[in-house]
Amino acid sequence: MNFDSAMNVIKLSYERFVGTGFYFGLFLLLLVYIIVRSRKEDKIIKTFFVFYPLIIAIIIFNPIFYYVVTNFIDEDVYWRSFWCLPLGITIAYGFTRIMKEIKKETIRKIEFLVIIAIIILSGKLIYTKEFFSKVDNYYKVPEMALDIILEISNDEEEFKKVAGPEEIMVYMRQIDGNVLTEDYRAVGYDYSEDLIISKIEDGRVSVFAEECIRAGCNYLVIENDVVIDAKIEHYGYTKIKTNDKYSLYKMYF
Amino acid sequence: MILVKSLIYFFVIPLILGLGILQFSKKDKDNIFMGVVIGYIYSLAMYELLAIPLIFLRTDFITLTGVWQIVMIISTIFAFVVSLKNCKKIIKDVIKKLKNAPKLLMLIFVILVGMQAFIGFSFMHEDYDDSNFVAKATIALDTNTLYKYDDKGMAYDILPSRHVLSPFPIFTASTAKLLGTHPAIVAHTIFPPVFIIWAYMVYFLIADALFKDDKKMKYVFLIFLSVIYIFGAYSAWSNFVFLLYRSWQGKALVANIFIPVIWLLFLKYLHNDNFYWSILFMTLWAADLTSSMGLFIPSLTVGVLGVLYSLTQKDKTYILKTAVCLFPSLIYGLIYLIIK
Repeated sequence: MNFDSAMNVIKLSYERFVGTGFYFGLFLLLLVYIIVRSRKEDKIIKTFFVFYPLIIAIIIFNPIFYYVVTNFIDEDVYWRSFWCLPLGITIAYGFTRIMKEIKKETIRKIEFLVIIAIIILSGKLIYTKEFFSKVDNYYKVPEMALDIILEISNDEEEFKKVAGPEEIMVYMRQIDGNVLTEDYRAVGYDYSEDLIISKIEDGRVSVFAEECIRAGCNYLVIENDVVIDAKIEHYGYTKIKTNDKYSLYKMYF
Repeated sequence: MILVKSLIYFFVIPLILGLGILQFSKKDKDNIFMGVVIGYIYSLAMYELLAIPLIFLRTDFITLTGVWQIVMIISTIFAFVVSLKNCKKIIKDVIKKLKNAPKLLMLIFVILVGMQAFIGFSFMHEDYDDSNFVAKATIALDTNTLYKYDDKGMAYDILPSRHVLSPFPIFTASTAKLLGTHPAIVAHTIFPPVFIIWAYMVYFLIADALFKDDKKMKYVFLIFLSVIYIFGAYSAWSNFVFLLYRSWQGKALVANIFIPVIWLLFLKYLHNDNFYWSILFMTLWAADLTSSMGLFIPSLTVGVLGVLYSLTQKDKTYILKTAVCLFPSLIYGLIYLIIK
């Protein structure tokens, strides 16, 4: 049991969970407010908002708990333990309790708007282009990738195996479970240079084409913007479809 | 047609199931939101109960889906018969609550939730974890197998220990099969609005527990919570983002539905009605379906709250009841350690 290693993971998990820290700051402040005002709370509510978060925090910051739990989950996802903390409802409850203390209606309305402003300024809007985009299909797959994937899926070959750039590989078997894919798994967000996908994304046709044939890939997808170092057709593949982003090649074995 | 099927599958059936189950409780027999919430929990718990043995027996996907469908049909018929006599009372209760609710605040809350559900339905969030989760759903349906192939199409040598005890992708596939659509469509388009609304139903019940007869403050709390969710992207690892842009992944349900359900049960229901301990038991079983996180995070929550409330309520039976509720997670945990 390595105490330093455990504390490093717990610290990283905590940092991931609190993010910018403002919501967590509000949570702590309002927790203190609830504790101070808890004489007015009934026992059940007091137990939940006062004792429960404190006990949970003691447990999840404990390296012994970390070691028990990482028998069941990867240490990379230990940050999910922090979801036991009632962050959202403590902030909402604390602010609502503060509002409840004010009896005058006009001041309550102003306070309501001020609290909304505090929450907005402490957080970050989810509904931005960073997190969401519009597509014209219910699969919610990028259009150009879906176009190629459906072309492969609807093709009449009995055996289908695909090699292509990441976007195609990630979505291929989400759409058609009968199509095999070449290995595309990233290790620490970087693809091993040994993987075919790495060579496809670099345009190294002279290297990946024969590897694809050896791997039994009868479908090959290349991104149109990638500068390739040789013609794919020279290796026996035939271009069967192209759209604004991708070209699809097929090998007739 | 899909819309009609989805309404029946995601609202009517859970409502009937839940209200049927609620007839055995002492309180809130006619509460529509509690009915829907319990109905969902029952559906998922039943799926987990059926799926694990059928997966280990190496049966096929159609068999699992068929058996679950039969169980759901029988359960729904039974629940309908049991709850039929209270139909009028349920409708009267809904109308009364709507009449007495503070209209402007209720409208703001409904708009905020509606907006979140609409965006979940209409817009795309790309998450490459889906190459695992959604792919497994599609593979199950396309190949009629249960955890036979990995996400590249290669056959597993042995059952994948980390995923097989929480077969939420297979549940996604069964849902797609019953709705007559594609698993990717269920995951990315249908599940998001359904789970977002389900989560807010739970929070609505929590608001009820916290503010009892103060209707205005109840809606103020809910509005604050909605805004907290909408501005919850301060971290890519907050539970808020998981509900709003990764809601089809089982872990999102753990953080935003099952843990709040556990909080709700301890805040209001467990202290004077033993019936709700059975709901807590079922909740943990349902949580086990959704994610490997569902094995331990809800259990931790239940364990801590069970012990705390046994002390503050001065009732030692809480410890035994808590232990019984933790039983499914304990069994699955042991199975996981054996097959790991």
